[in-house]
Amino acid sequence: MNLGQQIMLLYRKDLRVEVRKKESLIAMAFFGALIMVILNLAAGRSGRIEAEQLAGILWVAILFSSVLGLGRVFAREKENGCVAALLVSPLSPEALFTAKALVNFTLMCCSELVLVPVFLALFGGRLEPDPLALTVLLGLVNLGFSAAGTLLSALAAGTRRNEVLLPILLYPLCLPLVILAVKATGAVFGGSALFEILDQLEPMAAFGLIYAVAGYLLFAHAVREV
Amino acid sequence: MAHTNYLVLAYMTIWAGLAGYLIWISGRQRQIAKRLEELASRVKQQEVQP
Amino acid sequence: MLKRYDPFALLALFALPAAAAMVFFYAPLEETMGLVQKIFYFHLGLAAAAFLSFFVACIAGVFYLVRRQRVWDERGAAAIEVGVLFTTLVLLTGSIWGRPIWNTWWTWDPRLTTSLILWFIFTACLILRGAVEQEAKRAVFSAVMAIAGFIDVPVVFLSARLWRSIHPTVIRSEGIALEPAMLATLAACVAAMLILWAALFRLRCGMQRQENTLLDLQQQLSR
Repeated sequence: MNLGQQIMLLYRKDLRVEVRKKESLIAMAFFGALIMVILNLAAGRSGRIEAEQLAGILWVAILFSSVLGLGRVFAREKENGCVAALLVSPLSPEALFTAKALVNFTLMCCSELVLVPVFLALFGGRLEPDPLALTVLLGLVNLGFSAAGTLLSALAAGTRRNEVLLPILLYPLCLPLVILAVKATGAVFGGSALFEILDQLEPMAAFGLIYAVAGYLLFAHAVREV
Repeated sequence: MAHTNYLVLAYMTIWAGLAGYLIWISGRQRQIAKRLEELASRVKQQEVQP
Repeated sequence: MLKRYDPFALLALFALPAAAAMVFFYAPLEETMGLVQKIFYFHLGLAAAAFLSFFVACIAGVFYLVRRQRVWDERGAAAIEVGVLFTTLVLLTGSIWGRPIWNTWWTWDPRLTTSLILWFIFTACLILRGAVEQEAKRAVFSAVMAIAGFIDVPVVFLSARLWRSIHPTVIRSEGIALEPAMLATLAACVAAMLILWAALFRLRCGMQRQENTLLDLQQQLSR
């Protein structure tokens, strides 16, 4: 089996588990919506919130809820004792990393399919975001977040404090992504088109690329210790 | 606070930070020394009763 | 004397007072900020040393993963710890410097923002190290995290600069034109801080090595 086939095999297996149980998807969407409601209440009754603050609210909801799904993708393997089996099998750790990262990416995209409409319903009275720009933006952030998150989830899963440790490790690393995402989304909410936010998209793409490569190379070392 | 007081505060912070780290290191050093002593006495015991 | 004492510690004994003397007696008084500006010399020196520390941690991580020799984990651990210490001091001195100048305890100046994010990343490294008990696993995890943390730096710096452009009220600290005398003082302070870093790094490495040797002995005896 070549690399591509391995990746597809693992990806489809994990996706099947997710679709059957839906535990991660439901948790992510529910928690994200809950955060948005809480932030809406916390913002008070003053009404007018700036475009960039709205962007911040959206990203807090997405990123905090995504960590739930991220953590489960690897923790489930460990709980069921599958990690050793995966390592012993002829499947390469690199394929495992790519497949897990793709699963995380898919989960994030699916939860955003729910969260973005909910956000627009709660907050987006005056907003007219360009759909193409928003989609590219979300896609890039998902890419970077899932790549870094998959690598770090292998580290967190190897400790006894998995759920607590993953956010502690992942969020500092992704702070630049947050900065860029909030600025770009704020611009999009203000009506900017895709070509206007290229300045922010390029570093985001670089981030995604860096962590895709780093994860590909480093994951094998981390997962062998889990 | 007058301007120069901030200068003093900054230097105090640097020295306090470095000194604090040195104190912490020396604390761990003492722990190492204690454990070493315990080990040494255990070795002596093992020599007495082979 | 060189055999009994660490050469870098000895160097630091001379370099640090010399640098301090240059800061207060040689460097000219800055016009706009006055005496408070003199924090800047050591603030930048600490930042340079902190950055070096994280770079060393990343390299040590790579070497450990490739060679799996314990000495590289010792160096990585020391580099992360000393790096966090120096970064903490960078943040504190930067904040103290900012208060009288810009009337705020915190500003999203790109250098401070980068330092803050680095502080979080490498403190997370320390927390990770504390969460793993087995030595080999801890070493691998710490190496991976140190590498992952350091490769973030270019993006962190880019994004911090981008963020700053939203807050034009922050006065650019790089706006100070540095006279030659100031430049020389800055160089002296950076050198002194690097020497101090080396001394602390070696001290911490030695201590880590001792702890590891102790663990080995304990294991041998309990057999």
